[in-house]
Amino acid sequence: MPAATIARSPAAATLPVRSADPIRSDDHALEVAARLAPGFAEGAGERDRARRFPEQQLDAFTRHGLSAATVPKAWGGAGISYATVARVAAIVAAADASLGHVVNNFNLTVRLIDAVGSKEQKRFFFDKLLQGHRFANAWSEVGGATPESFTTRLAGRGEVRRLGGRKYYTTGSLHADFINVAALDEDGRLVVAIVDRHAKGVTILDDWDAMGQRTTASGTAIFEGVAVPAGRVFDAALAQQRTPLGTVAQLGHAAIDAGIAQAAIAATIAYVRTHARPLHGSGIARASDDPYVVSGIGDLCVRLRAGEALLERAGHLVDAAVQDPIAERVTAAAIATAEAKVLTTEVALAATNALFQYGGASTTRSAHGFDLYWRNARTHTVHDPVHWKFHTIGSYYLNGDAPAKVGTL
Amino acid sequence: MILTFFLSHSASPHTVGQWRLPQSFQGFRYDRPAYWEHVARTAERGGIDAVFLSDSYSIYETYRGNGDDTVRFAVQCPRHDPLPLIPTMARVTEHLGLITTLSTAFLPPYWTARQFATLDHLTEGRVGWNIVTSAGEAEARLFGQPFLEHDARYERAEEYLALCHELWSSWDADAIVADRATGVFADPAKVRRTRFEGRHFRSEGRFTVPRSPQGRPALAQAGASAAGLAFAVRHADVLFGLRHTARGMRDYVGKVAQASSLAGRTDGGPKVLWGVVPIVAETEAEARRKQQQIRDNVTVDAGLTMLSAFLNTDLARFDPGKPLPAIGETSGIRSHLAMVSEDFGPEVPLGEIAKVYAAGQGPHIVGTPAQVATQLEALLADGGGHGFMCITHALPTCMDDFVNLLVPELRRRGLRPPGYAHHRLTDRLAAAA
Repeated sequence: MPAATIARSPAAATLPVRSADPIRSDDHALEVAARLAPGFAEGAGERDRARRFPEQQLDAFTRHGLSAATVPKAWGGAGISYATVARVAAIVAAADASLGHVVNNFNLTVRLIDAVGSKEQKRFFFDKLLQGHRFANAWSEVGGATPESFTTRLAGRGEVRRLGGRKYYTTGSLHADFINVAALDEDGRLVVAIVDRHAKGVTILDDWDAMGQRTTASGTAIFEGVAVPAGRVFDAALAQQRTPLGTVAQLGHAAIDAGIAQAAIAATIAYVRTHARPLHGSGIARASDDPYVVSGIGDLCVRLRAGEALLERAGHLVDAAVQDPIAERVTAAAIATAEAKVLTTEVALAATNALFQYGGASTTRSAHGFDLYWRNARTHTVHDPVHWKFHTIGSYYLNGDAPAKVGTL
Repeated sequence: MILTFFLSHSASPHTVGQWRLPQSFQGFRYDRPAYWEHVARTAERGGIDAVFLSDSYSIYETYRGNGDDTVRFAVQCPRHDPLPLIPTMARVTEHLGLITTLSTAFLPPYWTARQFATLDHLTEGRVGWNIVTSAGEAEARLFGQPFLEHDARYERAEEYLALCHELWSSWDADAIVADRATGVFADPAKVRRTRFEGRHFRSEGRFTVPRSPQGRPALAQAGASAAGLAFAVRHADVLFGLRHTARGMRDYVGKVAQASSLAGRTDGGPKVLWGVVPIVAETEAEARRKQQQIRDNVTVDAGLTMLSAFLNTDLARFDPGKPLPAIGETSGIRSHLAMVSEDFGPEVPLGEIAKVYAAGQGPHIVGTPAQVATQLEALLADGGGHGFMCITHALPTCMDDFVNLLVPELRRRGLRPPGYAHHRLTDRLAAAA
């Protein structure tokens, strides 16, 4: 019998059918996140051990409308504040830090489309977000290349162009529906092509193998002659001028570290109360009366609160910069976000480390899996070099230098 | 240009009163095989790309709140099921495409997938499915099922198609080995179990029909609302458009192109076919006379019966001598509302629009073969699109006239090929410029 070549349905018949319940307000977003959090936390240790992507958890996140919460009200979203975005991100990351990273992708997606999308592109992609479809970002290239030196290219000038290149650390792309790929067009201008995950020419490798944040599926994405029609292309260079893309992404990252710190501190407190033993010969009855432990936890909590407060402050400044991207607002938001990131980076590292110190030697038992927090914090906090945050901040206050508009994700 | 014939398993397919004309049926009965065999053979003789069978599961009951005028004036009533016509027409043809309408609203996707896979085998790669989501409450009542609002219907349809595609592709193309020596007919490793769990549908198990010649039926759609168009550009090979002005045509083609681009489609999008009523005769006077016959047969009531159903609102409450007032969004066929508002403008009386609907819905293209050919060419040049869905006005003779008179002229002008260049319907539609 002759083999018939399959005539696939013309467009992406492999786009999954998704549906979602919309988020109505900031309070609703927080309530839903808090309600879903235990479900996210459950099995996180197991998933980390097996390097298994949090598929059901991401599905729950999108199905409950959280991925579309920043879609503007005019387009059917809740248009929530970025202060709320940060709080939601921290809640999610506290439960599962890898999931927290994966869902960060949505923030940038909405900003990009809102900033430079045509009416039709907005309707199409905001609808996809509101239906719960998944987006991932493919931005970084090997050697930390900056956009000016990206080798990923969108070739041609016609109605259908061709995307070719290689991206690294493409968090969540393996399991996404759409991938936002940063590339340079024929004129060397930064664009983002939103391609279907299963479009011809798209290959995602499951080669993310880090010691922490193990289930973010941040693998390599290869694009070979992927056909991209005009409706899928966005002027990213213009978007960076019209909206604080990079800062929104950084805010999300800062919040992840706050979440990890929160979870580590909570785990420490629980362990000290229930398992830890006081130092032999110290005369202290309970580990929770050990003054060093008490004081140490106090210190961590203060620092976490400070980080959270700066996140909230930064979130409101991001709202202002999104609403009116004049230079002063954009700069204020960027600096505030960098300040928040410094604090949450430091407390995440301190808290995940201190867990072992305050809980005592028995915390190192494999069964507890407490290394998860430490590994995640240690891995995620090097996403951006924190010493350069100090530099950016100092440079602003001392020399009045506005931070560069980098789209670092 | 692509050419298809727009038919239905009914006494008066799309032009009211057609059954009264002396040249209608000519000794055939529309509800018997001989008639459909004649239609098919004639179409193939004329190298027509496909016949397109429209359908709806109920009769129109919106006008005056009942279906009496529908029954009385045979406004697309009776309606026999068109699915059994596919094998009937396939047996007497070799190349003709055969597209039939089936709704996603009521029957299970598994059943539909099985029908079309089977028919694709029986027609050797010529079957097509015109996907409708069912706009009428009357249909839902007949099935005894709930009536879904517009956007929910498309969400359901999206899931419906996803499941059908999964079933159709579950047997690998080379699953059947048919090795007499070893006794192995098919390789189980190449026949996947479907595991589909959706909001509306679920299906688990192995599909029973092997990969068919096209792999899937050709797909057609007519949605023009935002949700309908988004759905259509994701799935359809061909779209059916119904516009009365060049501007309306260009507007629709633009919307299709844009929606296709957004959907990630890189083949230029589905082909657009315009509904037209070609009335061709040896002389212009003769053609005009035929057109007048159609108009004489048409009543405002019959037209309003159809239009009320399409707009899902009883138009009996309005004065037919006056223009249609703004009736807002209805859950009916939104494409018709858009078309009526845009193409006819605010001044045309409702009764006149109704008569246009009753006289075939699409623009009349009247004249000698040369005149009609010129008009068809001009429509594509001015309005865009890829071809025509030819609506009948006196079956079967109008089709005989089309094939005998107009097709040779179109072939002479190089607008139509001498024969069939592609066997599979999907290939034929994809190849059209």
